[in-house]
Amino acid sequence: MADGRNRHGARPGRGRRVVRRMRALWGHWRRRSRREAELEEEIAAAAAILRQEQEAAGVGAAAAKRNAAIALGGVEQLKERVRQAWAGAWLDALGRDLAYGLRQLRRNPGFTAATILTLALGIGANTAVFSVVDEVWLRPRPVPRPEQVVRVFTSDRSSGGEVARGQSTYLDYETLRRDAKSFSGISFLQMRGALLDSRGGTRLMDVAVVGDNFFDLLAPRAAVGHIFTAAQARSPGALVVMLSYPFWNDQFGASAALPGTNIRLDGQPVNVAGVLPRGFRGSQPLDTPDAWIPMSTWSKLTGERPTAATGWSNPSDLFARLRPGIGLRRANAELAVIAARLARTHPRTNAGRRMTCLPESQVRGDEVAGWSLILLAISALVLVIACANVASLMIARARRRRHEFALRAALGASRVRLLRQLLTEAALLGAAATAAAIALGGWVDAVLPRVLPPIDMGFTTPIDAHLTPRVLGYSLAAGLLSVIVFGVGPAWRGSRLPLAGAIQHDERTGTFRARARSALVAAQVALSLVLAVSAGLLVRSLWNMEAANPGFNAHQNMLVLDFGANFSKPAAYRAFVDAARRRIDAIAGVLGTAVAMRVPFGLSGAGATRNVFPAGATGAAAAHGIPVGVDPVSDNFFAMLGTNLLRGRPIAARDLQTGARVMVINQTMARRFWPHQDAVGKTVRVGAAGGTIYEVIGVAQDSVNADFTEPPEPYFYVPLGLADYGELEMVVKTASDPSTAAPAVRHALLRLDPGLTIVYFTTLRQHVAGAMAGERASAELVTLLGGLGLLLAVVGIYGLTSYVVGGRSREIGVRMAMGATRASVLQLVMAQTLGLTAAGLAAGLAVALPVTGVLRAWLYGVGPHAIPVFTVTAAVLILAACCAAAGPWWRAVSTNPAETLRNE
Amino acid sequence: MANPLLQGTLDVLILNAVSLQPLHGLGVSRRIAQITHGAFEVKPGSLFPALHRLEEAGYLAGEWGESETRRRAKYYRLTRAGRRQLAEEAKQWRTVATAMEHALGAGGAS
Repeated sequence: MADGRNRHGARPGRGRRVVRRMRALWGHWRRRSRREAELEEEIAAAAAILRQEQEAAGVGAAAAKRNAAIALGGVEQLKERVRQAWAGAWLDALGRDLAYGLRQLRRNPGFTAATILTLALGIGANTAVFSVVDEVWLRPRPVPRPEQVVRVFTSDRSSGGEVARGQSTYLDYETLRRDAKSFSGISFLQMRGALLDSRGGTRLMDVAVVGDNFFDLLAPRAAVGHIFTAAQARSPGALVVMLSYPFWNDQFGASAALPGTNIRLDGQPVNVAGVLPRGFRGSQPLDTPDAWIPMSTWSKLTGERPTAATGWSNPSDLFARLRPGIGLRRANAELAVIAARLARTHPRTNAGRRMTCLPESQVRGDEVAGWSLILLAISALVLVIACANVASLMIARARRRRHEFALRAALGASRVRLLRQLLTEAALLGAAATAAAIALGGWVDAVLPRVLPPIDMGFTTPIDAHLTPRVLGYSLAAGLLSVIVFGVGPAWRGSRLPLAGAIQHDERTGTFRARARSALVAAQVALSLVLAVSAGLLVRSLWNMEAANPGFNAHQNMLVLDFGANFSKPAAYRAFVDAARRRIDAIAGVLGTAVAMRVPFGLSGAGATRNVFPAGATGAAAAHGIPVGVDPVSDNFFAMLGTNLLRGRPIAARDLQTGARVMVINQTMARRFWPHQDAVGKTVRVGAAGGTIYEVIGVAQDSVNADFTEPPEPYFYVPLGLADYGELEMVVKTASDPSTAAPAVRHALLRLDPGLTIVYFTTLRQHVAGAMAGERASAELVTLLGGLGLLLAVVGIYGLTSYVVGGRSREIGVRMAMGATRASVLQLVMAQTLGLTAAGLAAGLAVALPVTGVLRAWLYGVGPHAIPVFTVTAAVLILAACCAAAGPWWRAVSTNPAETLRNE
Repeated sequence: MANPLLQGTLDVLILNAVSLQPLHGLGVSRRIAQITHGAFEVKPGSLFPALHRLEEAGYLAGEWGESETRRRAKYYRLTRAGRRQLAEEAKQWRTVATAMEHALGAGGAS
C-alpha cells in the first residue's frame, strides 16, 4: 500500500494527494465486486472462528451457531457500516440507489407512466414557450459583435403626441451616411412585397428591400451559399436576392442546390446568392422577411429609383453599427446635433424632429418583453400544477411503501439513507420526464408557429423556434426545479415514518386525513383559476373585438388589393387606375370599386399625416399646425366600405375631377376642432400656416385605424389628388363570395399592365382577421395552456377524492348498511370536495386579481373587474370538482357494504 | 464503542494491537481486550468498519492468510505510515493523560 511520502520523506502536495485519491477510487470501483466477496468471506471466517471456539468450549452445535451469531451482531448492518468506510462509498451507494429506484419504478408502471406523462406535459409546455421567447427576444442577431448594432429613429409628430421611434426618410439616411461619425456604417430596410413564380403558382412574398451595403454592415454568415456584397449588388445587370432560412425551408424544401440558381420575382430571373442563418430577422421581432433584396436590384425590378429629389416612396428602418469605442451617449449627442441642423436646413420636412439611436436588442426587448414574460409565467404555472399532482401521487405511494421503509429502517438504514433513496427516485422520474419533454417540445414547436401571430401584412410568417443550447438548459433547469418541488416534500415525509407505528395497521379512526394532499389540491385549484381567468379574459377580449363596430362593414363580400405600378408620371398612373376601375366594374359579380391611399387596418402602418391649422389656434398649433391623420380617397369610398356619414355629404366623383379643396372629417376631429358646433361648412388651412384652405363637407363615423385597442384619433379624408397616385389600395365589392371574383379581377389588372406589382390581394374578412391575428393567437395559446392546467387540476382532484373516499369506505359501508341513501353519501363526499375547492378558489381569487390588472394592457372592452369571467371560470372549476368526485362516490356506494366491512 | 469521541481511541488501540504481528479481525479484538486487561471490549460491529477505515487510510495493509482454524482469513499488518501514525498518536495520548492526571490530582478528585 502506498506510503504517501516520497523518498525524501516529504509529504506530497495537495494535487498529488487528490490524484492518489482519484486513482484509489477508480481502483476501488473496478474491484468492488471482489471487495464485496472478500468482505463476505472475512465475516464468514470470523463467524466460523467464533463457532469453533464455542464448540471447543463444549457447547452444542446449534447453540454454538446461535451464540456466534449473537457475538457477531447484525451482519447486514455490519456490512453496511464497512461499506461506508470504503473509498467511493457514496458512489457505490448512489449506484445502488439508482438500481433500486429503477426496480421500484418498473414494478409500478402505472404510477411511473402517470408521473412521467404529467411532468413531461408541464416541462414540455415550458420548453416550447421558452423556445419561442428565446427565438423572438433573447437570442442576439447572428452577426459578429451584435452589441454594436443599433437602430436609428427619427421622431415623428402625430395627433396623439410624439412618436419617438419613427421611421426615417431618404434625406435623414443620406445625411447620416455622410455626417455621422459615430457609426462605422449605416443602412436601411423597407418592407415591400413581391410575387414569386414557382411551380405551384404565384406566391406573395414578404420582401425586405435593403441598402446595398446592408449585409456588408451586419456581416452575418450565410447558412448556405454566400452573402452578397455591395459591390456585387451594384454590378450592372446583376439581380440578387438572399432568402431567409424559414422561407428556404418551407418553399424550397431546404434544397442545398438552390443558391447560385435563379428564381422568378415579379416576372424576372433573380439570382439567389445564399440563405441567411436562422434567427436573422427583419426590423420587427415577430416577423422574418422571406427575402432580402438590395435597392439596386429592386430598382431594376420595379423602376423605383430613389433620388435626393424624390426620396423613398416608403419611410425606412435604419440600422447602424457603433464605431468601436463609441458609446450610446456619444452617438446620441451627435445625432441631436445632426437632427438640429437638418431642422434648420430642411424645415418643411424635419422641423421639430429628433434623431435617436438605441441598441437593437433593447428595441426588440421593449416590444416583446411584456408578452414573453406573461407567457413564461403562465407556462410556469402549468408546471407548478403538474408538480403538485406528482407530489400528491408520491405522497400516496410513500404511504403504501411504509412497510418497506420500516423494514429497511429496522435493518439499519438511517433516515438520511431513506431520504437519499426517495430523492434518487424523484430524480429518475424528473430525468425521464425532462427527456420526454424535450422530445415533446420539439413536436410542439412544429405545431406552435402556426398558432402564433402573423405580422401585419397578413402573411403567416413562421417563427423559427428550435432547440438551442439555451433552450435545452432551460428545460433541464425546469426539470431540476420540478424534482425539487415535487420530490423534496414527499421524500422528507416518507423517510420520517415512525418504526413501530408504521408496521401496525394505523387506520384506527378509519379516516385518511391526507392533509398535505388536500393542501396540494387546493393549490392546484387556485392556480387553475388563475390560468382559466387569464384565458377567459383574452377570449372575452377577442370576442369583443370581433363584435365591435370598426366603423365600416367588416363582414361584407369584398376584396382588398394593394398595388404599385411603374408609371413615371402620376397622370399616367391615374389614367391606369381609372381604366382599371372601369374594367373591374364591368366584371360580372362586381358591385363597385373604390380606391384610397389607405383602408382601415391598412398595411402601411398608421398612414400619412398632414398639418392642419384650425382658425383661432394659438402658439405651436398656430405656427406648425396640428398633425392629423389623412387619407386621400376616391369617390364611392364611404359607400363601398359602409362607413356612415353622420352629417353632410361624402366625397364625389366631381370633387376628384375638379380638384376641389374639400374634406370629410371623422367624429373625433369634429369634436376636437369644433366642439358643440356643426362642422359642415367650416374651413381650415392644411399644410402650412398660409396653406390651402379646405372646406368640411361631411362628418363620418369614427373607424378603426390600425388597432382596436388604440384610443380614437382625429382623421380626415380628401379627394385623391394627382400627387397622391403612388401605391394605392383598392376595394372591390362583390355580390357573392369574393374569392370567386378574384381571378377575374387579377386578370383584368394584369391585362391592363403586365408590369403591375400586386403587393397584397385578399378578402376583407381575411384582411380584418389578419389584423386581429395577434389577439387570436394569444387567446388560443393561453386557452391551450389553461386547458392543460385545468385538466391536471381535475386529475389531481379526482385522485385525492378517490383516496379519501376510499379511506372512508368502511364508514360509508356502515352508513349504508344502516340505511343511508346514496344521496346522503353523496352529500358527505361533496361536502369535503366542495370545501376544498372553495378554499382553492378563494386563494386563487387573491392571486388572480393582480394578474387581471397586469393583463389589462392587452385587453379590449373588458370591464374593470371582469366579474363574468371570474364567475364562469369558478363555475367550471366547481363543476369539474363535482365530476371528479362522482367517480369515487359511485364506486363507494356501488360496493356491497358487507363486502366493504369484510375487507376492512 | 461507537462514540465518535472514542473513535480515535479505537484507532490507536487497533494500530497498537497489530504493531507486533499481523492479526485477523477477531484476533485484533482479543488482543485489545488482552492488553487493556479487559477494559475495552470491541464488538465486531465497531471493529470491522474501523479496520477497513484504517486500511483505506493506508495505515494497515490487508493480506489473506490461513487462520488457526485452517480457514482463509484476512490479516492486517501495520504499514510504515501506520507505524508513524501510531507513534504520533501515542505521544499525544501520553501528553493528554499526564495533563489529566495532574489536573484531576490537583482538583482533589484523586
